[in-house]
Amino acid sequence: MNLYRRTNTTARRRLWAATFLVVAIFLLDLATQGLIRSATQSAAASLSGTGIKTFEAIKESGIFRTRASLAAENEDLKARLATYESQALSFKALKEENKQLAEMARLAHADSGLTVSVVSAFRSSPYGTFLIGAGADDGITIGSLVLTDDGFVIGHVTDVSTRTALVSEILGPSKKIDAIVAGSATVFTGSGGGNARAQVPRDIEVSVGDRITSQDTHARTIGVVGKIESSPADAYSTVYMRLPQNIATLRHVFVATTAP
Amino acid sequence: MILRITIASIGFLSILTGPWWVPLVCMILLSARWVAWEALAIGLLMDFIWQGSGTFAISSWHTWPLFTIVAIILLWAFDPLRRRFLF
Repeated sequence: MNLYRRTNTTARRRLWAATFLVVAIFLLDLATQGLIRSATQSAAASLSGTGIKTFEAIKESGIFRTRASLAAENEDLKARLATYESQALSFKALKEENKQLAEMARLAHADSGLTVSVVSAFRSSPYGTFLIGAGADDGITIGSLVLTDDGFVIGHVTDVSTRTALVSEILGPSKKIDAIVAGSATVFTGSGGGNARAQVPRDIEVSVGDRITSQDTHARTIGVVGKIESSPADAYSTVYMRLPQNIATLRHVFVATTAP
Repeated sequence: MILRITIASIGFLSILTGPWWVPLVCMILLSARWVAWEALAIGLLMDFIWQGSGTFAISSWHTWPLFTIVAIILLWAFDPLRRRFLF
């Protein structure tokens, strides 16, 4: 009985101590304006970056590949190449058109920024965030916009340390963003992975592929209309936004260090 | 002890490499069986790494350090269960 009580008391004491320690660390971090958090993020980014490099090196070395998997990969790459060639043709035409329009409207952006590597997995964060391998030393500041190589805004920098930064996805789970689709203002609710949805009045003509911009991102494009759902009985249509590329496969992003 | 170390290692590793629910599962398993400081450490690290420092506001619950709170709740919620069946 005595042993039972002693074990219980010790366990309870340890539980209290651990709880107080965690709360103390959290409060200390708040008091120092994220100093502990920043150090943790730097260490995590460095660890994760090394892990990703090691994993890619092992993958490229082909140690674990079988003949069947190589054949499957070959087929997959061929299919992808055909898709990219077709996309490249349409992209070229669109690029020309875009250039002309930008010149006409004198809206060409003169961004300064840098391309940085993504050093964490997108699926790991429950808060719709990811780590990039550049920080204050590279001119990145809180609020800097983060874009894909296609020019779609995917997030903004929320925390900066010397060599790493934390990016918050603008379309993270449950996040809301004011946007303009087909000339109509609406609020999109993010669901992570570059996807979001909104309700727009049914009489507004929205089509698949329409660009969606936001004032929160200096009128830059944040996605395209991927799908529209409407029924004659409903006054509103549900518009689904998506990014043209899978956000989870991004290895590099562009960080605009100055606002346009 | 080996089981505890294994679960904790999976939890710590998956903070950076796995989906977010893996550390959560590890936290649940650890706190169900032991008075595990590892569960608290995993929760705290999840919040420190993935949540921005400028986001905390008492008025909006989605800015709270959810993993740390869940870890504390799990450890205390499983305490009567541990005492009843394991000690």
